[in-house]
Amino acid sequence: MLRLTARIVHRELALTWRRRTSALGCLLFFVIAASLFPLAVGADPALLRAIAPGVLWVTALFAAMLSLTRLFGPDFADGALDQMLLSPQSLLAMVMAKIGAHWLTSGFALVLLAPFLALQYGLSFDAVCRLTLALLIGTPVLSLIGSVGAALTLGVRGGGMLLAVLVLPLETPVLIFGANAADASRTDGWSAANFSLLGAGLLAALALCPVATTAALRISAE
Amino acid sequence: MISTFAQAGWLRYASPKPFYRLAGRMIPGFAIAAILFVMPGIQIALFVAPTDAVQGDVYRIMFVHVPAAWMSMLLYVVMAAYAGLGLVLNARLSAMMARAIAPTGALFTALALITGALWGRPAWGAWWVWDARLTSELILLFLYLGFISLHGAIDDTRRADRACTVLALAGVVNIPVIYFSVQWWYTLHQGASLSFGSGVSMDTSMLAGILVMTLAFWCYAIAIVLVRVRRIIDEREF
Amino acid sequence: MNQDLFVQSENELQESRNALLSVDKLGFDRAGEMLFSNVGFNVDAGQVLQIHGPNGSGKTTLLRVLAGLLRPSAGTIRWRGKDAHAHPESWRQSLAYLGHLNGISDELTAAENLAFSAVLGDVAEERVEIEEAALKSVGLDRYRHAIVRGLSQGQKRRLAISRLLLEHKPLWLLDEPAAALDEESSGVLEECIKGHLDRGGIVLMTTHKLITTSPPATRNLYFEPSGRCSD
Repeated sequence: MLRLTARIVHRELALTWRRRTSALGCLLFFVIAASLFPLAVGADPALLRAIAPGVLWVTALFAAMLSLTRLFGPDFADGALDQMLLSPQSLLAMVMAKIGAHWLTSGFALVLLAPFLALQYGLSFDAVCRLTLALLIGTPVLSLIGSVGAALTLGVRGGGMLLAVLVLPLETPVLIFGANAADASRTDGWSAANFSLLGAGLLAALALCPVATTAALRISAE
Repeated sequence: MISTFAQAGWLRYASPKPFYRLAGRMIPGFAIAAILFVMPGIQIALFVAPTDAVQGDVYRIMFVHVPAAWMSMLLYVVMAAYAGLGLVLNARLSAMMARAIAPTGALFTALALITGALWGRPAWGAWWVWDARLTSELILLFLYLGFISLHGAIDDTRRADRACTVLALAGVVNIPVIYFSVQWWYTLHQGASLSFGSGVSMDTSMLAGILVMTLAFWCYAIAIVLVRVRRIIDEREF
Repeated sequence: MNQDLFVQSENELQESRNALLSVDKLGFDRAGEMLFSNVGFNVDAGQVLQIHGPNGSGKTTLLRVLAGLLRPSAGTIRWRGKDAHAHPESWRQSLAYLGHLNGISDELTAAENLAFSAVLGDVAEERVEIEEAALKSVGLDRYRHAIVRGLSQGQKRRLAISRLLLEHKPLWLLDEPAAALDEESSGVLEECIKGHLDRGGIVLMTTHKLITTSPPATRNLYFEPSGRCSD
């Protein structure tokens, strides 16, 4: 099992590196989209500090959504997914490994970029820390929930848009808890509560989503 | 329990063709029941229930708004239940029922949102207020529309049914979380709750009115879902 | 389009009890349309079953049902006497599938693809020698470290075939394996198939052209648009 997981993660990372334009594309989208807001709402520092957690969370959400089509899409297109479905090895373990590797190259990368963008919005050090931590806990949940949508929409017309339509409503709780956890204008008490809820969400998603994704993959292969 | 149903001959209705005939016989009954419930419902809503001290007569839209909101939530759960049943029992009819319920559920959600806006304008001065219930209804509408879109996007009906089952089950598990998180978000940002229900002291006649309207909507929903499922059976089986 | 193949003679009934792979009354319908029904056959070690039929007759679907990617609407598949659907792990352990798509990733090298296949197939040890031997058998040993994207269609197909040699699975399900292959490569394919049969394996393949030299133990299944198929 461990060998399988390690091999899958290694393969996913190798593939992402060789197809790096698409992975970098989603990170670039994050940066560009976040830079658009000050252009649209004005550069008033107080306003920007106030909207920063929300704006950065929403753009992270969109960037994560964009990256989801490459989770299963290429494997579906070249028949590698069929081989995984036919393998006597545990499909659940393979799916978890794929989602984990995918998060490393999407959500986690967004987490690393976020502090720099937060600087653009003039957030204090404390606020930047909260935002980064919130994204660190929240982006895996986005990947997990998103993986269910990605599996359901494999090979379907209008896949990317449909994926977003299906997954965004399901991810609103993550957005709510995450953005509010990052919001430094809340008291410490509120913030801690939001973080706990995010953490609980992560545990629940870890338990439930891979199972749903595995079922969805078998359905999509038909 | 399944065997007693089988003995009573009910199990044949799990198959589309016999169900088609049964549904055909049930529709007129439920349609009439809907009309029979809606008449006293409107009467209570417009005439019997007293004018509210704070909101005047505007609050009467509640008699459509609240039942519609309840129906929208109930129908999602029923839809998810049928979807789940279809998966477990591998029954085509259950999946068809889920597919038939979705548009009606979406309709009630939209109705709740529109009546919410119509209520909000005179009551709070804005066409849309981001209160917990309306925001949750909005997300629920997106879930319904997502279900319908997914079904429409997949050509193979068997795969579409099964994919939508997973989606419906994911939705139904998520809905309490969504409601809780929206409520949480609302209290974080607004402090005191400003829900539509506040300020309207509930008279027993008002409660009666809401219940009667709910029953009317429920009968209507059953009738229209049966009509739709017959149409789906037609398309797929004949 | 109803495809029927009946197990008729007493001999065949006896055969089904002993055969490695026994398929009985298999049917599949999609969205109300019956693609095939009542398909049955028995195949034993060292035998090959060729499935013939024009495009769209349901051959690929039959193969996918046999592989377990699709669920049949009716019928049973028995492998070594056990129901395949009741024991999916042992079923998957015993088969190797080559579909229309090659099942290899364009951005990985040939060696990386084979290493991944070895892990998927639960091959006991990943030994570089086994991978090299597989590549050699299909004439791709020079391309071990070449990114697959740079290979021709025929070479990619050969790489997909070499996957089968890694795994030592007794049952091979091949969907038009000779597609995109030239004369020489077709010869390589035939060699691989013969070698597999000699080791006691079974091959089920769809084809629209007969492999030129059919091994002695070849059975045929014909899918025809008109109806019954024959052995």
